[in-house]
Amino acid sequence: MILRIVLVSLRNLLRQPFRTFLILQGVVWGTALGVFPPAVINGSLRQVESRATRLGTDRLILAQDHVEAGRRFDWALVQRLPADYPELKHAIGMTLVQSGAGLPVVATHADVFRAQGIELARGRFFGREDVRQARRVGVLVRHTVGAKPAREQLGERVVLPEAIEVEVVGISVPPAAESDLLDEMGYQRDHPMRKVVEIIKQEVGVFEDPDLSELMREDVLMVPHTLFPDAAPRWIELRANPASVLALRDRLQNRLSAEGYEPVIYTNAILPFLYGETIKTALELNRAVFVLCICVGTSVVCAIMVLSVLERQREIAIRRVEGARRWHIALQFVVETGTLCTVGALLGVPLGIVIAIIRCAIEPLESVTWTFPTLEAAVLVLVVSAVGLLGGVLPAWRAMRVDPVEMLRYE
Amino acid sequence: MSHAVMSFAVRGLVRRPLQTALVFFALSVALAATMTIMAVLSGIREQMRRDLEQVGTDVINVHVSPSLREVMASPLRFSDCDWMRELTGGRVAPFFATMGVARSAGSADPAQVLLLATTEDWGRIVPLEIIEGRFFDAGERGVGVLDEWVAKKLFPGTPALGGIVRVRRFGLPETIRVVGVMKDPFEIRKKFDELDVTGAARSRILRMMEFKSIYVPGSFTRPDQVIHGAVVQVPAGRDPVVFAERIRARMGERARSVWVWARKKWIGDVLQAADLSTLIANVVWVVVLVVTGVMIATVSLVAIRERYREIAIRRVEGARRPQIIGQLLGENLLLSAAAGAAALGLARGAAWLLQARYISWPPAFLAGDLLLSLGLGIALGGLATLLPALRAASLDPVRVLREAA
Repeated sequence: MILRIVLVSLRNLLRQPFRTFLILQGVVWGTALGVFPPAVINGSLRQVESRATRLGTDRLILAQDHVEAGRRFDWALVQRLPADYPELKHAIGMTLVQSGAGLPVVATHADVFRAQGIELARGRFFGREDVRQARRVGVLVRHTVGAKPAREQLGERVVLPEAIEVEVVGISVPPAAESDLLDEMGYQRDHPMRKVVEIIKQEVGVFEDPDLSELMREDVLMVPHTLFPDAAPRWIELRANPASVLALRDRLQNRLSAEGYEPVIYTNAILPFLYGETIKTALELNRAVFVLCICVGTSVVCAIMVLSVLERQREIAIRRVEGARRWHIALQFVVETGTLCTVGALLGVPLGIVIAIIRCAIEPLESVTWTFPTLEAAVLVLVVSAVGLLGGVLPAWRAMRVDPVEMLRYE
Repeated sequence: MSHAVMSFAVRGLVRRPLQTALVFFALSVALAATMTIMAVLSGIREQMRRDLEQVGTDVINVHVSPSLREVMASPLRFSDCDWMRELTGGRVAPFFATMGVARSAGSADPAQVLLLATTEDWGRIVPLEIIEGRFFDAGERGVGVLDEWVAKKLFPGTPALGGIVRVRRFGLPETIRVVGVMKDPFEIRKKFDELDVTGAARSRILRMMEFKSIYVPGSFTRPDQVIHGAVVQVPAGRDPVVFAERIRARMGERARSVWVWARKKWIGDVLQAADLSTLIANVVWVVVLVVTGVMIATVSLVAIRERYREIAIRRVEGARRPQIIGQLLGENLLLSAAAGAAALGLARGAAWLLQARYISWPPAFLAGDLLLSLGLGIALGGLATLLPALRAASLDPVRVLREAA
């Protein structure tokens, strides 16, 4: 019996394809707009935590403000930082000892390879011992794509400023693709939206350090900083857990400003969106809008259902006369609305994922990606279906009260 | 004739109270949702415009470039202020900017601030409202004026006037007595400040425009004293963009490492960038509008389909097609207008709720936006009535009645 009622309801839906389509698409949009934010936020969160080093989401780059500052960075400061901030995993100082036409040469710590997640293709890295003893060795770190480095080879000797000659003892693995190159805030360098990012960054007053971006884009020879004892570090690169980077940034800036260093600090631009407090307000707003959408959707669906019951009073009366009981008819309406909402919600989930995929594709921040938000999607489908069922109760209740004789006589 | 049509329309509405109420309800909810979303989006732009205009449309900023290739000393000297004053015929206030950390007895958390050492003229040049006390006077020492953002951080819930702020800069402690607080020009950031992802990556010279500063009296005595820049106010009615160009020309060789820009132009650029993002946000609005539009059309459509019999009877009674279509359209128009009025109230309520809880700008109900959403709602509802009404009116009444019976 129940099966028959369900079949009648479904046939009713098919018999009025236009009305079914209209209600369905409303539910689909509502669900899709609810699925999209958690898909992107959960996906990015996972990506940021699992690939922190490659995406630079665990990184803070302290650069010297270009306008004269009270104090310049020094190697002692770099060494002091990990002791003062236990959450730091690595702290390395870097300075450019040769730039321009020749191979850029960076004087730095032995930790740099582990901190930046650099993989070795051939040879070896220089170690702490090499740095301590100021050995004349260097490692070519590849940032350009291609099988062979354009310049120096393993074992070659390179003459640096102050007539210091170093031997290339190691060469790193080149990045897999051009799109693997990220700037200091985690934006892809060759993304189609790159120009827009550049304009917005300048509009809000953020300027790339031209030397720093050169180091991140070209092949660089890294040598122990002890070879150039007089060169002060120009950048300090720090690594920590992505979740603690923002708090660390604020503490570092307070402390270093108080001491007169006045650094400019670059962090990955996605972090405030994932770990900030404000984003909770934004999400809450999003939820409020979603609830509003559901309210509008259900009120309109309810109105449509009630109106269609009025339109179908004759049909109901005839079914009653045929022997259908009141609850049969009530059930029929509940099934109709329930089916519409459930199917709509189920179709809305893939639409939400498609929106998330499009959103990620136009995003030049490499850390932004999507994942299937299982829990959120399940809750959403349940809530929308439940609301749909509730929406079906009102017309069902009305349908139950129709007296067939009255109705048909009136007709 | 039209009077008769309208009276039929009114009677049609009154006689079917349930249907009327339902369509009215659905229409007003859908319209209210559209109006609220439009008001929230327009509100952002309106607030930004109001915010930005407060920073001074007649002010020119002159400062050392924040994007030099090498770290270098400022090429600007205190004596530059003299020729800038002469050239523009307005006021000039030099400044020297350092970052520092400020603490007060009232707050446990320190606040990172930009310390701008300047002259008393700053207070006359930048048109920000003083919400507590006054700007410092010539010759005062050990005093400072806070931006509202700093005052709120250091003196939460209490007035900052007369308070003592301890600042460390260059590693040295300093004590500042607060003599005034300047209004925060950026209302919009009160709830979304954190989403400024780039604050720490800005050169301190540009952080001047963040309005998170403490203004202290600087000692400018020697003409060759290094300054980081100056703010210049052009006389009333003169175009600051032209004067900025003149100052730049006068800089000669130095122009490469010095920035000269009129705040007026910057305001225009920022608003343009904001327009772009509003445009992107409008995509969301378009989706909502389309969905509500379809909803309105559906409701109108469903409401009319149940009335084929009634229409047929009216035809048999002698009513002509235009009369019937006129009656149905009239009903729809009356309902839409009433629903629009109710939606306005509903939208205002929803906007008030949103503002109280989520957003830090007042939603702006612009007449153009309201007319657009009302117009679209009425047009869609009208269209969704007209098409089935045309069909209903053109049906053969005999057939309709026979089928119904």
